[in-house]
Amino acid sequence: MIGNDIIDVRLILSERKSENQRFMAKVFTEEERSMIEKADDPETSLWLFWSIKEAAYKAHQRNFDLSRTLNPFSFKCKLKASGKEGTVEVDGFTYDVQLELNSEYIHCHTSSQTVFKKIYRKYKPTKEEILKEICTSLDLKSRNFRIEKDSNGIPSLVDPHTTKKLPFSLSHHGNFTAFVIPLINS
Amino acid sequence: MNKRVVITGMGVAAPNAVGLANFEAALKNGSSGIRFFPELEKLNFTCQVGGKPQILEELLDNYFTPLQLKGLNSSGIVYGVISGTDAWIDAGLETANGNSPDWDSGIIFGTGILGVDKFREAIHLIDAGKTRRLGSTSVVQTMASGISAYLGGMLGCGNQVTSNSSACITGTEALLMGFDRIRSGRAKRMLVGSCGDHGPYVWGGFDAMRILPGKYNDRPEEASRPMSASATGFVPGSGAGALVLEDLDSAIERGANIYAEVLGGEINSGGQRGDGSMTAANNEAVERCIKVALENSNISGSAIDAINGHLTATNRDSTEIRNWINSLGRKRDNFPYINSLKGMTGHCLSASGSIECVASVLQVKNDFLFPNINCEDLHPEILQLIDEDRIPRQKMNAKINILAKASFGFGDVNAVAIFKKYIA
Amino acid sequence: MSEKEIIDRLKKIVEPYVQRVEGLQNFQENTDFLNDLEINSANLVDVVLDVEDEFDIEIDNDSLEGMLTVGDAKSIIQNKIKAG
Repeated sequence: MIGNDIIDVRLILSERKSENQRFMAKVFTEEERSMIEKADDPETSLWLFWSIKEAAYKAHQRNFDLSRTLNPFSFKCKLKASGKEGTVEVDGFTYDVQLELNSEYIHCHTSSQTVFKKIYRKYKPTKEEILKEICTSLDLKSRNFRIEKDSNGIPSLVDPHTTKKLPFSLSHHGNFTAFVIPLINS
Repeated sequence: MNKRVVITGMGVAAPNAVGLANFEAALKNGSSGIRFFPELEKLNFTCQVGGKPQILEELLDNYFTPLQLKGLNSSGIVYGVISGTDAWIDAGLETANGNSPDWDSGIIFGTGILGVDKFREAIHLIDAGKTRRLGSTSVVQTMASGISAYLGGMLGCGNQVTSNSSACITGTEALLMGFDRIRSGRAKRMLVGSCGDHGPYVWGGFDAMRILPGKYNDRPEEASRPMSASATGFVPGSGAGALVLEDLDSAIERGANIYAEVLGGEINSGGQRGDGSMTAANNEAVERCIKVALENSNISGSAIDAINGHLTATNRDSTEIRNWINSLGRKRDNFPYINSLKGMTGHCLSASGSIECVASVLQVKNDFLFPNINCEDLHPEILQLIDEDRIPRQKMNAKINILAKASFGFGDVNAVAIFKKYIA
Repeated sequence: MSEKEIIDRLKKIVEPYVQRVEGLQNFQENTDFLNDLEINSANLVDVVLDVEDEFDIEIDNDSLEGMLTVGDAKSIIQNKIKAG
C-alpha cells in the first residue's frame, strides 16, 4: 500500500515546534519524544517523524478504506540510525518507510513495492501535468487516465475504459509537490 | 553474395528509461537510473544500489494477455517482451495472423539467467511438498529460452527462434548472430536482443565477489563511475534492449525507416589463456576481436568516429582503452570519441550489450554523443593514453559515420559490432 | 455560549492557518478544515491547541480524531464546556 508526504523545510523550521510541549504531547508518543529530544537537530527530527506518520497514515487509510481522521498519536514510529528508513506501527500493522532529507525538503514514502517518485520544486503542477508526467515517464502512451478521489479522499489513477484503479499518492506543501506510484519491481 | 543488413526497429527497457523516445531523451540528458533499494540493505549487501527499469503494472496490459499475466514473475521476460514488441512495432511489422508463421522472420534473444524470482517461488513450493501448485508457466518462465519463446509466440516468427547466453556479451552476440543469418540469406528479418533479470538473487554473487561499489549507497546516482579515478566497481543493473535487423532489400521494399547499417563484427574468446581467466579478458583476444571486426567490415581503424565501450567502472577500464589504441593504431588526440552507457544504467549484465547497441545506434542515427557521467575525475592512467576531450562529459552534437560497440564477458568472451550511418 | 459565538471565535482561531482564503467566506458547520480551507494537518494540531486555550478546555486524542469540520469542532467544544 502506498502513501507519501512532502514537507517544505523552509516553512517549518521557524515554527520551533519541538519546544512546544503541548504540540509534542498531542502528536508524539513518549518514546518518539525522547528520540526527538536526543537528536542533534530536534526540530528536523520532529518533522521526519511527522512525515513518517503522514505517509503511513495515507497507506493505512487506503489499505483499509478508512474515513479521514486526525490521529497522529496512534502511529508509533521508529527511525533507523541512518535516518533514511523507519517503521510505523498502527492497529497491529507495520509499514516500512523511506525518507529523503535535504536542505530544501523532507520526503517520506511507504510502499510494499518500489515506486516511481517525482518531486516538483517551486512549482505546483496541475492534475493534467502530473498525468502527462506519469504517462511519458512510464511509456504509457495510449492511456487516458484521470485522477479521482474516493469518498474518503483517497486518490487513484483511473482508466475510464478499463475502469482499472491504480493506487497513487500525492502530497503538497509550500513550494513542493510530490507523488509516488508503485512499480512492478518488488 | 552477402546481403547488406540494416536496423529498422528498436525497443528498450533500461533503468533510466522505458521506451525508445524516453531513452533517447535520457541519454541526451545524462539521466541516471541507479537507485537505492532498501531490500538490498536488509539483506546486508555491500552494494545497495542498482538499476531496474521503472515499470507500472498497467503498462503490462499493452504487451501481455490477462492469461499470460497470471503468475508472471520473471522480470527478464517482462523487460524482454516490452523491448522486443516495441522494436517489432517500431519497425512497422505486424504479428503473423492466421495459421502459418512468418517463415522469413526469426528471433535471437539472449539472457544470462531467466525467471529467478519465479524459480525461487517454485523452489519454496517444491520444498514444501506442493509441487502440483507450481502452475503451468513455471517452466517457460524459467527456461533460458523462455524469452525467445514468449516473443516467438507473440510475433509469430517461423525462422530460427533461440536464446543465446554468453554473460555480458549476450546482447551484442545476439546481434551479430542475427546479422550472420540475414547476411547469408537464411532470414529476412531477425529480432535480436537480450534481457536480464533484476534483484538480489542475480546480483548477490557479484556482491560476494566484492566487485561492486559499497560507498555510494547514500548517493546512488553517483555510484556508477566508468573511467573515473574514484571508480570502485560496477553497479548491477537489469533490463532489455531489442533491435530488428533486416535484409536491406526487404527494408527498402517495405519502405521501412532505417536507423543504421550493421557493417560487420566479430565474436571470439581468449580461451582463458595468457592474461585471460574466467573473469578477466585475454588482451590479445580483445585486440584480435576488434581487428577482425574492422577487417570483415572492410574498414580501417581510422574510419571509426566513436566507440561505445564496455567500460564497466572497474580497473579494467584503462586496459580496455589500451586495447582499442593497439587495435585501431590511434591514441591521444587521434583517438575516436568514446563513451560508456554504464554511468547512467549501471552494468545491465546480459542485457547490457543490447541496451548499449540501441544507445549506439541512436547516436549514429541522430548525430549526437551522449555524455559520460560521473567521471569528472578521469582516471590518470586513461589520461596518459588519450586526450581528455575524447571523453565527452557533456552531450555533443556530432556526425557519427561509423561507431564501434564492444562487449566483454565472464568466460573470457568478446564481441565487437560495427554500425554505420545509413544514407539512402 | 451561543453556537454563533463559538463559530465566530473558531473562525478567528483558524484564520492564520488557512491556505485557501475563499473558503473563509462561507465559514459554516460543514466547512472542512483540510478540503475547504486547506489547513495542513500539522497546523490542524495547532488549531486544536488554540481551541484549548480559547475555550479553556482539554481535547483528548479520541475527540481529536473526529475533528474534520467546523461543525465537528463546535460539537466537541460544546461537549467539553458542558462536561467542564
